[in-house]
Amino acid sequence: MNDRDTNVERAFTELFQRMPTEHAPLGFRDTVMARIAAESARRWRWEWLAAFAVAIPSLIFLMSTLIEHGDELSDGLGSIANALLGLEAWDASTSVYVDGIVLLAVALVGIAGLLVTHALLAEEQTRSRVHVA
Amino acid sequence: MQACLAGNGDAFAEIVERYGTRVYNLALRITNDRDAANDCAQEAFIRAYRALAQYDQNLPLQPWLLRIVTNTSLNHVQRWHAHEHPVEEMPDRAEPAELQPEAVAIRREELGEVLAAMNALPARYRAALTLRHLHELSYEEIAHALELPIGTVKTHLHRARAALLTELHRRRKERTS
Repeated sequence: MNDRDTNVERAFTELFQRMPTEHAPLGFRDTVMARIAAESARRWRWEWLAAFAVAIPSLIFLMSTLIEHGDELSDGLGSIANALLGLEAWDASTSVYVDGIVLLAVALVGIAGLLVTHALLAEEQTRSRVHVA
Repeated sequence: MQACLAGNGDAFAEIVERYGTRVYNLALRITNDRDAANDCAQEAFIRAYRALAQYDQNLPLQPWLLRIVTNTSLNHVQRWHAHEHPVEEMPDRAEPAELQPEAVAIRREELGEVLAAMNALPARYRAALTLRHLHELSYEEIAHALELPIGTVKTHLHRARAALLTELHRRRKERTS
């Protein structure tokens, strides 16, 4: 770059520095922060939806199973408790039968719980970063 | 920025407060539309927030933000003003007499004329000129912001200055005749 080019550069910089600048519109910062907060909330909404979609059918199934076979379960648990305390001997009745579908339902409720926990933590983190009132 | 990454509640809001006007003015120079500039500047900060985790804290913040708003604004212009003059159609160089430091000396009352003349230039030229002469970014930073090789940036800037002066002279002639 020769002297003339440097001088032209400098002249242009001086010219641009003299040009009027405008302030950002009123409430610009608040609008940006509100949009960030709204976007973050949207981002975690799917986790809540997935958690509900997974948890509700599983919980309904577990409730219906409990209503249907609650007596067997309480008898079985009572026998196990008594056996552990030494009040009864361990035999065939000292057991609880849990089938695969019940296990799957419990696992799904657990996954839903993890999703909700993650969404809550992420929301809290975003709220503290973005400082939502 | 470190405070922001550490989860300090007001840190990002402070960044928006501190750089808002600069980011908005760059968007305004590129889009030449206040509403579009407002949208682009807001969008740039939202993108910056999303990309916080990828931001290299060893680099200065301003060129990073200006890069984001440049891209956002150029994308906007490309979407809405597809008919703009392609860069190749602009004059390659000004008359030798025009590209002299004295020719750039503009009276205060003519500054508005410069802005109007700038708006006749392609968006990429406006972006390059503003980044170089208003925000005083280096060629390397401008190349990064415009995603162009440094050589192309230098050519763009040279042509942009020439085109701006040619446009200013044309306007002056029109006014005097």
